[in-house]
Formats: sequence, C-alpha cells, structure tokens
Amino acid sequence: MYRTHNCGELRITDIGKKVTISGWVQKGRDLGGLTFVDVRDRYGITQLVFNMDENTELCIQARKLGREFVIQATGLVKERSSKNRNRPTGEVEVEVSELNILNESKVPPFTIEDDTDGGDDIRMKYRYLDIRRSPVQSNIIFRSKLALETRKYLDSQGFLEVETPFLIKSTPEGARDFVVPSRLNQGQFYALPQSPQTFKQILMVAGIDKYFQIVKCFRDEDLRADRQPEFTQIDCEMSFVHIEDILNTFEGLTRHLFNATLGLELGDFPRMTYDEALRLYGSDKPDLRFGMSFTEINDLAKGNGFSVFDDAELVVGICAKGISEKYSNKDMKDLTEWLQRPQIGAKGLVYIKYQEDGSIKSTIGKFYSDEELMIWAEKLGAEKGDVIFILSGELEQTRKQLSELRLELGKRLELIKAGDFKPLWVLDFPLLEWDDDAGRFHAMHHPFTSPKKEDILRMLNGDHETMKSLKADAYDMVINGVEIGGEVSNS
Amino acid sequence: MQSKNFDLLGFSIEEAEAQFGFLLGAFEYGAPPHGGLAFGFDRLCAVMNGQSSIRDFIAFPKNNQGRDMMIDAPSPIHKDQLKELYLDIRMEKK
Repeated sequence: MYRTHNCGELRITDIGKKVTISGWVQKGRDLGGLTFVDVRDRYGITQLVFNMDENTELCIQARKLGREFVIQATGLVKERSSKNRNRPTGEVEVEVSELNILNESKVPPFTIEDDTDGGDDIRMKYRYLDIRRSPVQSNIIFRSKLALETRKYLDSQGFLEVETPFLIKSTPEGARDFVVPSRLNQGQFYALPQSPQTFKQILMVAGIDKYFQIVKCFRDEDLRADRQPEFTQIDCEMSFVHIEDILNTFEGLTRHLFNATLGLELGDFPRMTYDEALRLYGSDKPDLRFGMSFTEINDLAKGNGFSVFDDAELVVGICAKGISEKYSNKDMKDLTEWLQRPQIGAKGLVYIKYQEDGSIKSTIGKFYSDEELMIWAEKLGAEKGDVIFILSGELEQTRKQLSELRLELGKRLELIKAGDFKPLWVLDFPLLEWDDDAGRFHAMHHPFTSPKKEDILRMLNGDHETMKSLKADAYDMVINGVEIGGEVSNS
Repeated sequence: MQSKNFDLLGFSIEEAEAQFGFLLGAFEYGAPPHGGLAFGFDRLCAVMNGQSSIRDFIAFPKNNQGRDMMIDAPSPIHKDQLKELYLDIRMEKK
C-alpha cells in the first residue's frame, strides 16, 4: 500500500495515528537537529519531520532529498509546535520512522509553487510540472466539476449526450477548417468540425429531441491572443420549443453551474436587444458590472458652429461619477492619448467637468455657453463632481471607441467589484453581416438561421440596406462583457 | 426562404447542394421546429474564475503560434506517410 492518507487530509484529530503518505518533495529545511520536508500531492501539503538525535541515518537520508523526488513516508502524526494556520494540515506533522525514495527527479526548470518564476514558454514546455502547481490544478479541478454539473443538469432536463464525428466534410462558411487527408480516398480530405452544427440539426430530424455534447471544436484561425485552435463547447439543440423555452433552459443551466460551483445565486438575467446594446454600451457584449451607459446628444450638440460635432454622424457621451476634482489635466491628456492610439483611433476627446462648486469647465467653451452645457449635464445625469466624456464621428466607429473608453474608465476608476457576475441575454442579432472585403454577406451565426417572422417578407423583397437590418431569432448570453454562448432558433 | 438566404450568402443552389445537400435532404423528411445553443466551455471556466485567459483552463493548451510546446506539434511527417496520402509538399521560399 503506497499510502493510508493523502497529503491534504491529516488533522489535529489524527494525532497519534501511524500513517503512510506518498507524494512529491516540495521543499526541505534543516533547523539544527530537525529536518522538515514538505510533501505534496493533488490534495495538499503535509509536513514531515526527521529528528537527527533520534534517527540519525534517516535524517541524513532526508537531507539528501531533492525537489520533486517522489517519496513514501511512514510515521506518527504529531501536533506541531509552530502551527501554519494557512494550510488545512498545518496543525500537524508526521514524525517519520520509514522513508522510501520511489523515484528521483531532475532539478525542475522553474519553482513549483503558487507563485512560480517560470515564463509562459517554459511552463508550456514542461506542462506536467506546471500542472503540479496548485493554481493550475485548481483550474483543472474546477473544469472537471463544471463539466460534471453540466451533465447532471442537462440529464435532469432530459437531454441525451450524443457524440458526433470529428472527421467530417469541409465547408467554406465561417473560419478555416483543419483538414485531414484521406489515405483510402486519393485526393480527398476530411475536415475537423468547427462546431457540430449540422449534426445537431440532423439529430433533431432523427427525433433525439434534446441533445447535448461537451465537445472539441477546431478552427484554423489567424493568430490572436487567447485563441486556441481547438476549444471546447457545451453544444445543445432542442425540438418543439419556442425561443423562450431555450432561453429558460440555458439560463437555468447557467444558474445551476454558478450555484453548484461557486455557491452564487444569479437571479433572472436581464434582456436587451442587439440594437439597444449597441446604442447604450457600444458593444454587443456589454459589461453590466458598472453603469456609465451612453447618452446620444446629436440634438444638443449640432448647430453651434462646432464643425467637429456638426459634421459627425453621432455625438455621444458618458458620465463618470465623482472624478471632477481628482482628474487633473494630465489625467485627461493621458486618457486622450490612450484613445488616440491606433488600436482605438479616436481623433480627440471632449470633456465637460461639472465641478463641485457648480461651475462648468470644458474643452468646448468657445462654442457652447455654460447654460447650454448644464443642459447636457442634466441629460447625461451628471451631478456636481462628475465628468462627461464625449466622442463624435461615424456611428459604428464612435460607439466602438466610446465602448473602449467606458471599459477603460471602469478599470481605471475601479468600478468593477471582484467576484461580481452580471449576466444578460442580447437578443435579435442581425441575420446577415456585410463583409466589405469579400463583397458579400456572411451569416452572423450560421447559414441555417432564419430571419424573425416579421422580417421574412422584407428579406424576400428587400434591397441591400434592408438586408443589413434583418433580424434573426439569434441570441447571445453575455457575462461580464464576455460572450459565453451563441444561440439560434431554426423554425 | 433558405434558398434566398443562400443567395444572400453568395452560394448558388448547386454549391449549397454540394455543401449542405445531406442536411437539406434530411430536412425533407419531417424536420421538427428546433433551436439550440453553444456555450464556450473554456471561456465559461475563465469568466467564472474572474480570469481573462482561457489557456489557464486547458490542461494542454497551444501557444499563440498554435504550437504545442510540450510535444512539439505541428511537425513534419515522414515522406512515406506523405506518399501514401498522395501528397507533395511544396515549400514557399521565405
């Protein structure tokens, strides 16, 4: 028997027991007559102690243990004189009477502790060592638990898990396929699935009724930070359901997952149309952990001879609470330069400070009186001490830039509370997305998406602009500004 | 409706038939109204833990160049393998 206990389970109630544990040497310390060795496994870390006076030979052996040696130790559980309250096993130690080296280890290329000195590349190369670190391990444990809870919930709702093939047919839609040459069929190729989309629809035709799969998907996309060529989806499809049923099912799944893994109650998810999300947050995946929604002020801004606003398709602002005194000219300059970087590409930033003493200070005082700007402040819900930031220009671009500014301010002003979760549904996505480069439309979700019922006639008879405005019964779940799931109803 | 959709997406009927004929064929045998959803599982793990990178939630991820640094993939394959797959490699000069 390699062990009677793991390295994470001994407690004060185990004092006096003779135990055997196995694991990896985290580190050793020699203190006069005593040698301490921390031994680690998936479950935790236990301190071993060797006494030079009582067992000299064993203690000398312990002093020779290298980091990451695999050992087995047997001994008595004792109460520690100096306790480590940060560790569940920190009240006890094992006084070793028998020590086996099960395997030796080379010196690892980085320290295997919570805070490692290893860079990304070296950690990836020695991933098996990185996974020994508890932060990485807890991520893997979380993932396992999340998958299990997904299966439990969907099973409880009557879903069947059905595997679909990985060797399928290449389709030009979406991203590039990874292809696999066929040896038995000269000149022919399989493709790895970008998603099980067609198969899940076929399963509905086949009468499976409720299908799910936790499945690998493959996309040969250009290099971008935090993209993986293979990634995992929880893929689902249901028959004889209205959109409302689908939304409720997956809202239920998400609530279950948060509750079962984090102990959090999310409550009902707010809903917002795609058009609304863009108008209020400049993004189809708004982060609702803080406010600062957009206010469009074309009506107030135009016609005062300020050509920047007069020539703009959109003049739009946000209000940042309570920073008029603490945001200096230098901060403003800094923020403006941040916005003017090519990644964002704003031409400039207009701001209006509604100062604590009730006076107005702005970058557009030449064109607008204080009285006029007070009306702007009111429209944006600004109070004394607030600052209004305004961007202008072409509609889509300006919204995108202000969205970036809003998120940046959220960060800089620390408006986002750690551990806060704000999910929502974004509804009524456009059916089609115009691709300027290719000179054609792309399906925003997939080519079998239907337009909303009220848009069907417009689709059959409409012109180019109409096509852009068609809405689909397509929905996204967004949490904290991140798109978690796309959803489509095909009726 | 579906053919109008394909038309807008730049598929001819023939292309759509070649690509999705199996699905269009299946739809002719009594397709129920249906709808679905796909969650990004790696992304969900990261968001629930307040982290921005999905890589930390994948046991064996690829790096930004799409490489698996541990097993060193992708890699060239043996010429015999290429031969039985009827493939020639033409390297582009850099």
